[in-house]
Amino acid sequence: MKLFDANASVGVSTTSARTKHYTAQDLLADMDHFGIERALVYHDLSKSYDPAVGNERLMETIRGHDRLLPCWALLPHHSGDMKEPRSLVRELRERDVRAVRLYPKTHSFSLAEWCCGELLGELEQARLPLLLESDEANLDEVASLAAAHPNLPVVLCSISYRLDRCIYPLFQKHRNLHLELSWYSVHRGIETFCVKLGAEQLLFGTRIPTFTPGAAVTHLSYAEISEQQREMIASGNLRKLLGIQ
Amino acid sequence: MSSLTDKAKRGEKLDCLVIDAHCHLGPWPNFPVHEGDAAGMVRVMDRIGIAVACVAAHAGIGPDFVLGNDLAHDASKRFPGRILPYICVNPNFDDGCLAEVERCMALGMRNLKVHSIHGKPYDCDAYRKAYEVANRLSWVVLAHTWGKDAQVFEGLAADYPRAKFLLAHSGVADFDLYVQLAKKRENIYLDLATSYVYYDLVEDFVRRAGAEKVLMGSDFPFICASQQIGKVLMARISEDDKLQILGLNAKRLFGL
Repeated sequence: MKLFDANASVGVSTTSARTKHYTAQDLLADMDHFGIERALVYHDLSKSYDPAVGNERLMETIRGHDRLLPCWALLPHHSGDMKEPRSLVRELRERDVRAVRLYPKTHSFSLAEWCCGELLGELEQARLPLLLESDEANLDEVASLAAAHPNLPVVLCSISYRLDRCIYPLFQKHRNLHLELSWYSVHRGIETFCVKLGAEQLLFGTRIPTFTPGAAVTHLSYAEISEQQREMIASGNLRKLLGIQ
Repeated sequence: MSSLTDKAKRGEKLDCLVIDAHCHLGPWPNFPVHEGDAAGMVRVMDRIGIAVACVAAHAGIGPDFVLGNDLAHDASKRFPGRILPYICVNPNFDDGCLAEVERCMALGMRNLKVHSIHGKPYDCDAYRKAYEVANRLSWVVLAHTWGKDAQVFEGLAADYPRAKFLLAHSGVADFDLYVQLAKKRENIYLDLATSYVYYDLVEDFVRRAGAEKVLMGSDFPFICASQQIGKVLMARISEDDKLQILGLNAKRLFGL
């Protein structure tokens, strides 16, 4: 099982036991231990401080480590925090950044079209996957976004294990939505999702270094699904979204 | 022989003793529990290699302690040796603690599950009557805790020294408190069940409280056993420590 982690970070992390700095070298050592081949990585400063600063710090941190792929945090351009969307997407292409994040709640903006429509439209045209943490947007906002931009791949990260009554109809209706599994600790959850909707919308993710990857690994390795579905979830679906082999 | 970490990566059935000390059973109102009946649970246990699930039925945690205890008892009869039912008690009812313990004992059940969802303090008189039985018979008392509310068990563990208090969701908040309680009281133990699968939590408990104080609990089917067990199987601790946490400690505590 070749694992590609959709939800890893570097920088400062906090758990109930400690707060610590977590470097690219720490991440690579953990990936070796847990058998993870590649990871899509963001820098915590891009959320907790300033996206532009965090993104640049990320690029410095992962430089030379081809197992780590950058994921930038973006902002809408109206207040001058970032370039206008077309230029921004051009820069993402030039710097080989293949996925982005938005934090509308933390960074105080709206995902609605009047605020993010232009940015989301450029991302959609470029087929650049957008990662959203589940506590950054409610499911109605996600549904509106997915409907307005049907060709934009959207990955919901850290989805609660309590939402299946909404998840199934939402993901059935919007096939451009994807579910990252790090907090989706549903009993028989992977199996049930695969039966109802197939494996195409599920992505392996760990939330390292807040969570231990061990839980995410066995969640998938012990799932009662076909080997083809396991490979899709482990890495195939994310590779396809990012356009890499 | 491959390590437990290697088995985990491959999803290989475990051949060591695994006892899941914190399990539930059946539906829960807040979200759907897929195949949460005893058959669905045993199916998952067989796939992973879990020998015994210690079960407090969801119905017993809140809505109906009699229904819950009967469901857990029925499951244990349907899958002998695989389902070990806890007695759920509810201090809000006159017959919810001691009388229910006595009713369930007559069915052959033992060990207690207590939960703060009932809104009564863990040291109230009604609970104490149940603890007295647990103390006399050296039972396990699995107690739902979430950080600071675990503090009360320092005193209770001293008052009932032969009962074995297993603190559910240890470390989900106030990590240091759980370490202090486990070190201070011989009869306080740490259950690992939580959806917040914090980095290094198992390693830190082993280093600071000792592997003999830590028990594998998954909370399944409330959440997912195959996910929960990974934090032990792939932890950076010795194989011997893992074997204690996975089953040997529970075997000793439950007298299996």
